[in-house]
Amino acid sequence: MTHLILFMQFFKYGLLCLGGGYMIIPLLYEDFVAQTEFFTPAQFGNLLAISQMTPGAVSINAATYIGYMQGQVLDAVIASIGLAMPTFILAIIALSFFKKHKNSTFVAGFFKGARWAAFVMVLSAVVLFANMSVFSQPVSLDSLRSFSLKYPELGVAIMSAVIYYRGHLSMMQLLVLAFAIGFGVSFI
Amino acid sequence: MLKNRYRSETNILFLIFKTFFKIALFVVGGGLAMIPVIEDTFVRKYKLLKSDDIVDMVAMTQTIPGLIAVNSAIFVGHRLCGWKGSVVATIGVLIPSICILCLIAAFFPLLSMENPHILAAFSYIRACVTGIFCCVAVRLGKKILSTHRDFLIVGLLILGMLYGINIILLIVLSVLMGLVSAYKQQKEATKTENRS
Repeated sequence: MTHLILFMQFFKYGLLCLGGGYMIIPLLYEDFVAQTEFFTPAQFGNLLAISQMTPGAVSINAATYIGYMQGQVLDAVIASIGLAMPTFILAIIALSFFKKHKNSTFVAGFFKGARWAAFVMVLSAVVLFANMSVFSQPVSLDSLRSFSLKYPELGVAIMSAVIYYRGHLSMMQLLVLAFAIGFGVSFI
Repeated sequence: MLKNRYRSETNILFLIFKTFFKIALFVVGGGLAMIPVIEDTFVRKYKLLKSDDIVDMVAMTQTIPGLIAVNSAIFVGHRLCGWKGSVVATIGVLIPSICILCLIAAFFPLLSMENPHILAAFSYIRACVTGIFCCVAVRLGKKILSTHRDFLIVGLLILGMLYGINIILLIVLSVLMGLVSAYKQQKEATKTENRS
């Protein structure tokens, strides 16, 4: 029974990831940090950082990790299959009439909306991660006037944004570099 | 020719599985990072797909909802071998992620992580991810924000997010607004056509 619930939960996330895997971040945050407090915000951030650093799709990695924490290997498999299932079904349906309806108004409108949502979700992920790293206390609408920054982290964030935007280093190299800086700084 | 070597269906299926398994095993950075590797393997190395197919694939991953990695696996599998190819490719993409993350979860439990140096290092990694997400947001924003209407709707969605409206509701609303604006645009287009 718990397996079925887990499957349905990740199936739901899969359905809602309309604009790509990044959209899962606010959804997971809402369910596992804000409501159930299964993770602290920092642990959640670490989880996603690990999913980002390991090979493979980020959202599938996160689903596997959370599934494993719910139980064991079986739950991990169930969670990631549950997440991939809606995409699989939708894509198989879409492929059979993709060519015909590529330019239909309905399809165009649907994906326009999905991409707006994806953009807002990525923005929200930026805020979530900034709260976990750059700001020393989570910033919300009420505490907008009294925020305090952690400058070393802010420096790393800006540096990695610029380097990644220009394409000098790959994501993996950047993350390893950040880990090395952090590890080194912690001894000072 | 290479194609002859892979003529039988089982051979192609195995090749699809093997390739996607490898891609998921070695490519870091999620679905978007996989696309160039897929192109490299199937177009340049095995010559099973043409670069037009990759253009189609990118178009599909950008228009069909869902995870980019899974979508591209399904597309390539479908092109080469029908639905069987899709199934095999998806399984190939999933298995490495599941195995690696299970190992990490088993040997690197997040909840009981106490080493102060590693915790400090992770704080910097989170900062780095913040930066990377900023880039992702800027690139996506450049692509989708072109008219006043786009800015207005995205602004409304952000306000909704700030004031704690349910995320699922927001996604549904956004899709609905997309549909409305597409139909409106179509109406305007036909109107101007009629006038001229």
